[in-house]
Amino acid sequence: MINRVLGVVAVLLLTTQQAYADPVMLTQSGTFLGRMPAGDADSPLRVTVDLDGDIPVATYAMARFQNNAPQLRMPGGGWLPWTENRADLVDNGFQTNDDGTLTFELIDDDLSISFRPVVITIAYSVGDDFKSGYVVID
Amino acid sequence: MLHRSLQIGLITTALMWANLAHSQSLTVDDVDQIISQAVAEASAHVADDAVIAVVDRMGNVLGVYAMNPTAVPDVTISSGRGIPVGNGLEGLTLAITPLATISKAITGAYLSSSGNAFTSRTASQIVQEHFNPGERGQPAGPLFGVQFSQLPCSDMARFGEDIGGGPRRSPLGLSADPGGLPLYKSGQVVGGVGVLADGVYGLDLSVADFDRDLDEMIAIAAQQGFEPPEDIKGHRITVEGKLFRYADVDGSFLRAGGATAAIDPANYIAVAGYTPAGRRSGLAYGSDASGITLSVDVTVPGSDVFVLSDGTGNNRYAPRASLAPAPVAGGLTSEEVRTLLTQALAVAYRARAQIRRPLGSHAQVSVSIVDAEANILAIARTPDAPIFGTDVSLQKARTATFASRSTTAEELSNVAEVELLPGVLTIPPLSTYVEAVQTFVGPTALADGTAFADRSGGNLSRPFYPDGINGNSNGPLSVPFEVWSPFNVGLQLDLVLPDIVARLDGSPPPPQGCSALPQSSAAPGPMPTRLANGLQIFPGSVPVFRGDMLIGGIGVSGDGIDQDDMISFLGLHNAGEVLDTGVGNAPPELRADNLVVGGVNLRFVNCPFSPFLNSREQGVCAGK
Repeated sequence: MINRVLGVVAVLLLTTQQAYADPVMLTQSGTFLGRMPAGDADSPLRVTVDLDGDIPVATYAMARFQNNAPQLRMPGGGWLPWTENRADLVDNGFQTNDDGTLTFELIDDDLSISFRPVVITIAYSVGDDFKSGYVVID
Repeated sequence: MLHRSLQIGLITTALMWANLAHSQSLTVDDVDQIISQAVAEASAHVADDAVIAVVDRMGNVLGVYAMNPTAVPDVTISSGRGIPVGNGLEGLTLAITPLATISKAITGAYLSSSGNAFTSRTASQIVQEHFNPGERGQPAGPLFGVQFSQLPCSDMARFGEDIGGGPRRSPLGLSADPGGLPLYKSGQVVGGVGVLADGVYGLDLSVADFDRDLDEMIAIAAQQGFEPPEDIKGHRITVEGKLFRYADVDGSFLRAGGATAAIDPANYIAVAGYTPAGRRSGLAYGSDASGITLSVDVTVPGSDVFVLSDGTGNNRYAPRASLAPAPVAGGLTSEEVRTLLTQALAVAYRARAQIRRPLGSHAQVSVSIVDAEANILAIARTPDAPIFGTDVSLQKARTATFASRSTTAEELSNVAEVELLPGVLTIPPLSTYVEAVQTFVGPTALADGTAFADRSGGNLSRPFYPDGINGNSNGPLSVPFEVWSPFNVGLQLDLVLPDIVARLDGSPPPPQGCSALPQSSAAPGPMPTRLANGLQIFPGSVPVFRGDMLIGGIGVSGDGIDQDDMISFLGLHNAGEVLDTGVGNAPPELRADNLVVGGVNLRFVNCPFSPFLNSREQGVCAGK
């Protein structure tokens, strides 16, 4: 089931590269992190987040396709269909860095982009809150 | 074994349908023929800078032809009522002629079906302050507000320059400007054609005359060979005893006599966000690739159900449990959603259609269900429901839900003023509308959890209150009639106008959809906003309750508004009886028809007389 995606037409290989020059802040309402052409997305999705003192309890990554087929990321990089229910999310285990930042590295993940654009959301939970941000891959 | 046989039967039926549908689509040669006929007629009128668009039934743009591609003229948006610039879209002159033609073509395609052929002129007749327009004392058009559907910011409509599954978004919503016609092959809708040659994106203020509209004459020429059957044209169909208008001219008025002209393939221009340069063939409605196909997982005994497909055999909106509230907190379970969906469709299959030929046909509609925070829980439809109802049913479901929340006033009030075109057009803060409603209805309006059906909110959204009574002031969600037109309606447009304008360059919708309202809290964003495909203000939806708790909404669109009301209201009522889990319509004491505003009760739903085929039942919604 892992890596099962709806009609794999194209494969997006996200390799390690810093997507943003400076750490970004995630927010409860969701920070828009920008759009990225699909061609550019063949390179990197590594996002470093300024935690601003937060101590994350868990970290998450989700993807939504235009065909309304949401998926969640498993710790090993596999993607599964997701109910869009917060309770069903799985901790990806990204660790806090020594400088108080946290880096989401989506390395060598396979994602169908047959229904672009795909919205990739990264998030962490802190207490009862979620803070998140998203990038749109066109 | 029985289950397996049923599955095989369904799959066989699906394949048969797919084969049938496959023969009904526009080819590249068809597109060229349509364009060449349009060019011949335009040339005969010396309309040498006309622009013509052809789309398929799902809204894929098959070609946009500019007779003078190096100097495509601008277009002025105007109702002809003399409303100055600074009032919604009125009076704006923009370089969006290709987008306007796409919207007109989509209107012809989306409003039509095998049982009814409507045009953008029909749309003009049903979106104005009276039905018919200009007839004092008559209520507003039955589809008042439908022009702001299929929006380019919608979270449901598909988009892009590829040919793929629909329904596709429309750059300006639906059009009331004559010159948008459906295209048919063998009695099946295969697309639409839209023309703009007169420089104005407008409407027809009167159906009492017969215009000689340039755009429409060119479109009639384009349509030759792809006309609908005569018996299903709008002028064969009545609502409230009034015939719809299909077109003001026919083939006998054409100067070119239906001739063709040479066309230059290089004149098929690119339109960002909609089509690359060139032309292509369309998709056959009903094929999996088209985005709408026969369902194998949502069934109504004895009847076919169609669903939105992702192109790989999956239902995009298969019934699922509520996200907010979750089922453990009272939200709908997936089984409840499925039951609600199929019960509504079952009512549709019994209902006598208002807008279809032949007489005695059942209603053809789309049904959408959302949870209390606008997350889509299911969408399904009868096979030949007009495409526009897909988006509109979702708008209606979300509108009834949003308006019935106790947070509506606060959430609207948090949407600030937008200076959209500096010095030209400013959208007021939406608190303006909240204050008007609370002055008009009462200080707790939109904050006390009163259950609003779309009909109730629609009562407050007309340019006269009560509806159609000339000389009265406007409803609080409308602008005054002096500045009202289908291009400047009030809250419905102000909520999404920034999203529409931001996408005139063809850019994709935001992931959360339209409006600056809050997003669903079910999961980390982006999630749909409360009105992620826009607000709708004509009837056909009710909020869904469990006891006295708001848990979502159901919206129906595709037939007459009373039929749509009945299918949503009775579908929910019947589902409640089947489920016996407390799910049902709002308790009568919570419904908006308890509100007496200006000496008149708001309405909740209106169900039609003698509504069912093979039955003489009357008053089918009374007491429920």
